[in-house]
Amino acid sequence: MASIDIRNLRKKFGDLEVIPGFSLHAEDREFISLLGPSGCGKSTILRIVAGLEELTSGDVVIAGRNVTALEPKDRDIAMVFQNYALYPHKSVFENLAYGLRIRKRPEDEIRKRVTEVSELLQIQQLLQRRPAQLSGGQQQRVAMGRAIMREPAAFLFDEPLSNLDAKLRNHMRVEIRQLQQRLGITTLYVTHDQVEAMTMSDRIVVLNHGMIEQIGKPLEIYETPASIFVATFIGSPAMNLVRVRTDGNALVFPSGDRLSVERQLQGDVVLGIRPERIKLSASKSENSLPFEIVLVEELGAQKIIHGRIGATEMTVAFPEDVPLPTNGASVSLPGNYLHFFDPESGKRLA
Amino acid sequence: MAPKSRLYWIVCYFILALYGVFTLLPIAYLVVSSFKTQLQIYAGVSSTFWFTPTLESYRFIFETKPILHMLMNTLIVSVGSTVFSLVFGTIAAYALARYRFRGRDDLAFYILSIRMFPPIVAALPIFMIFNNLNLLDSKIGLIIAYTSFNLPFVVWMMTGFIKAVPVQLEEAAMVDGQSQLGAIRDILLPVLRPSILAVAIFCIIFSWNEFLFALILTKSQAKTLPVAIPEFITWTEVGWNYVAAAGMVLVMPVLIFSFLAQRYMVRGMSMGAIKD
Ligand SMILES: Nc1ncnc2c1ncn2[C@@H]1O[C@H](COP(=O)(O)OP(=O)(O)O)[C@@H](O)[C@H]1O
Ligand SMILES: [Mg+2]
Repeated sequence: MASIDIRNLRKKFGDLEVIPGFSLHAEDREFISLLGPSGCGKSTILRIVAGLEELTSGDVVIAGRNVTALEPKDRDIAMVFQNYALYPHKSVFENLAYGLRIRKRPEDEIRKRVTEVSELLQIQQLLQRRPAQLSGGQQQRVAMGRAIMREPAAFLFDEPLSNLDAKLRNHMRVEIRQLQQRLGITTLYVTHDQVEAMTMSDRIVVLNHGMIEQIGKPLEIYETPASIFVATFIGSPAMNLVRVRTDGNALVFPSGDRLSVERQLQGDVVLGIRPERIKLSASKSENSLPFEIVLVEELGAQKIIHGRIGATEMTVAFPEDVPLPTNGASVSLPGNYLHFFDPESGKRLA
Repeated sequence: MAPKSRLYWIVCYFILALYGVFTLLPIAYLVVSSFKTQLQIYAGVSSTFWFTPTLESYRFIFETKPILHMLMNTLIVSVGSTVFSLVFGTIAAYALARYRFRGRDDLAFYILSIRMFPPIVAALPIFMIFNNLNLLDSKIGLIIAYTSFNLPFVVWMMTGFIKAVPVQLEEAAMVDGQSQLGAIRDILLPVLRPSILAVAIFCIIFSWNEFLFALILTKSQAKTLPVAIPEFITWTEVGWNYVAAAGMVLVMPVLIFSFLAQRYMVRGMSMGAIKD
């Protein structure tokens, strides 16, 4: 049972409080992403779990063992860095073997293990090369291989794919996830890329300024974002957000257009709707709003349509290859896909 | 890049040739002078490179002065101060490169500034301190003096080199199961090897050629070769041929050493597998 428990973690750099309080429980075999914008403290949390950074207060428990006071070498973890951090003066073979060499394992065991791992990652033919002689994708694999070698209790990834080109990134995403499931190793995965977090994780932790905005399964977070921050961070193109006035059962847009909804709301609210949930049509129907098309982005599989409801900007994702209405388009916003947030706190309205 | 024109290369080589003559002529003059007699030196321009060579000057200097002893002193002091400078300088550089602490940048600049004032300023105080500590005319004294001059240079250079090595390399080693010291030994130092060698070469050459402190701080026991060379110029005799021969004895080892080590100075330190 290699669960990871982070309890009441706090971290200050001098007077700067980067992590004001963070707790997380990762089950055995679970893949958890820490997702948030740059500078929100993701790496700091990961480095504290690894033991590379001291914490101000709190506890880190890995596989039931409190490792808070232990050095990285005694924590039984493996880490993959953004820049891969392959040892430049060692061959790929020795990069992989290093962890076992430190532990003074016999030579034939090391060879056997390197062979296994290099076959798993299909880097057998690279073993004699130096890291500088590898492509970015190959270096990535070697870094993965090095992490796997010792069969650690936990994997820690710090943005491992952000130095790869888009195509390779998509490929490695799948590969890392498959590998993790096959090996069944509990994983913390830091990323600022919501697509990675959505596609790879069992659960996502959305972070903002070192605080948890939301923890949940990818679809939960997509479907019921807990705050405006989460709503805009997850999903592409980003969720449309409009500050509207409420009037009984109706929402009043800044343009004066009204939209009746099934729930009773008070005062001003922030209305959210994902671009892919908006229905765009030529004909005006009941409860639809007039929509002026400003710009169309063709992505092949879908069109991203930028337009306005009155003065309110709105993005619509138009999935099928349907001709766009030429004049007088209107949009309808299905009630079950509407999100409401408190304009002051940014929190979701229950 | 567009291919360079013929004229470009002609001009390039012409300038390089000019520079080569400029730097090599004095050395060539030293070489030939060391194989001349005193008379031949004054014989005029026409016979500068046309004469019957003799080893007389070499025989003379080895017979009249303990050249080998002084050469040995030079070697011991150079290597000793280089080792000390590298050990302490690299440790200090590691702290400056890897840790954030209050006043770090000021400290780094202060260390460098030691290198900026003229050595003669420190000569008298060092002489008096060494006098009290009984370090005059001792090799260890000279080693300490040279170390104090080489240290700022080593600290400054090595700080830059260490900063250029991503700290993640050491961190990866620590996660792999190594202690911090072990990570430095296994990963950082091997990666820094070319840089350390390059810095070492500069330290050795500085100590090897140093004249002022050797003159002030040594008398006989710890005397180094550079101090002895001008002694061939006396009230009664200006022995350029002896000066040249002793100069050759001093220069040749460094020349050979630099030649062997130059690939370390040239070979880039950019062997990293790090993508940023
Ligand atoms: N060693 C450090 N000293 C001071 N501040 C730091 C240090 N490391 C990180 N920080 C600060 O902590 C915050 C979080 O950093 P980090 O965890 O690297 O963010 P992320 O990985 O989410 O981009 C940033 O504001 C960063 O400037
Ligand atoms: Mg980071």
